[in-house]
Amino acid sequence: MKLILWEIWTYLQVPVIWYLFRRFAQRNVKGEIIAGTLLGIYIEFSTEPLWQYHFQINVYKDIPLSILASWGVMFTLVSFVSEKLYCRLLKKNEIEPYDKRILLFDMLGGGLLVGFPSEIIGIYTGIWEYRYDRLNWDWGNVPFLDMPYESLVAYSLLMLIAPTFVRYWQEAFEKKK
Amino acid sequence: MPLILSEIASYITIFLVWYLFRKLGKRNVTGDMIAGTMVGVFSEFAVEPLVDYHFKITFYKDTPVIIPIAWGMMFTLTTFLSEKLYYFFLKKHAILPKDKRIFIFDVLAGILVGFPLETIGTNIQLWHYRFDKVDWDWGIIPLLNMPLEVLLAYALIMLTAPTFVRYWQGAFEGRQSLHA
Repeated sequence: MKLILWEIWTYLQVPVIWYLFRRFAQRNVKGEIIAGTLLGIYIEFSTEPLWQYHFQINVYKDIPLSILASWGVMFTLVSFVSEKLYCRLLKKNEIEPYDKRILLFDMLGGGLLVGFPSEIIGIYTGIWEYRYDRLNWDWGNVPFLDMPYESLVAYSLLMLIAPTFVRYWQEAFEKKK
Repeated sequence: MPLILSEIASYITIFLVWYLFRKLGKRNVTGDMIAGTMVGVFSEFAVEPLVDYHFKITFYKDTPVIIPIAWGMMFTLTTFLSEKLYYFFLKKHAILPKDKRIFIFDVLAGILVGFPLETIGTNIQLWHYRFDKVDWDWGIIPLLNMPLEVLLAYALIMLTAPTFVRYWQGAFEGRQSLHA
């Protein structure tokens, strides 16, 4: 029963997050969500054997449809948090094009403050579980969080590269042509 | 060819590709290779349990140092070919900023460059897929003896990764990007 509610929420979060950004940040994040979802499709398809999902509506084997959109939501939040940290800490009004420091904010800010906590929620609520019989993870667990270090490193590496795609294409995905 | 020679050859190939771009294409691809290698590090770390490598110099379990760098080379070749196809078919001299049609050419170039390299690596047994883990059941591509899932995975990564390479290529060389 609890899982079905989580599944419903993973669908609802897309319009909710879109609306909240529109209402409170005066920002259309449709493009970010689409770009992030594209990344999600690649990530989930290529790593499918390593996790086990427990939702009802799936697109490929046990990968839920809403998980792909959840990547879109997560990358939207990651890009937003990373951008805010960048502007705040570097005292800028916007990200300077090709400023490599944004990679640091994406990885540390967005990844650790948004991405990894989202992963923890997913694991703790039982939405998915790691296939430890296939993963070969042996670095141990992050203290207090009971999450494998490998998961943290994977998130950091992903956040180093993915937000660039989201930022670059967000505007284009909001236009019709 | 013994594996040790393949490993040495793979390091030499990276320098050779870089040099050929410099010499014949008048193009410094250091930035492309660095950006592509970053994508490769993530990709290899994420799917490490699903592939077994057989090289000597490794950085994480059995993942060889050369493999993420080889991703860098592959993305360099893919973005290069994709651009050429884009120019040729759309009759342009530069990629229009935010032109979504580049996705088609990235995927096409990835299949023309990346997938053959993957096929060679698998067939000469530089690595092998862990079929006991991957659950792939779509079948094999005739003549190539490669799982269809690998082709789709390539298409999906080529949809996203070249943007990163194009965006950061210039910055990693300390100059303005050519395309992004």
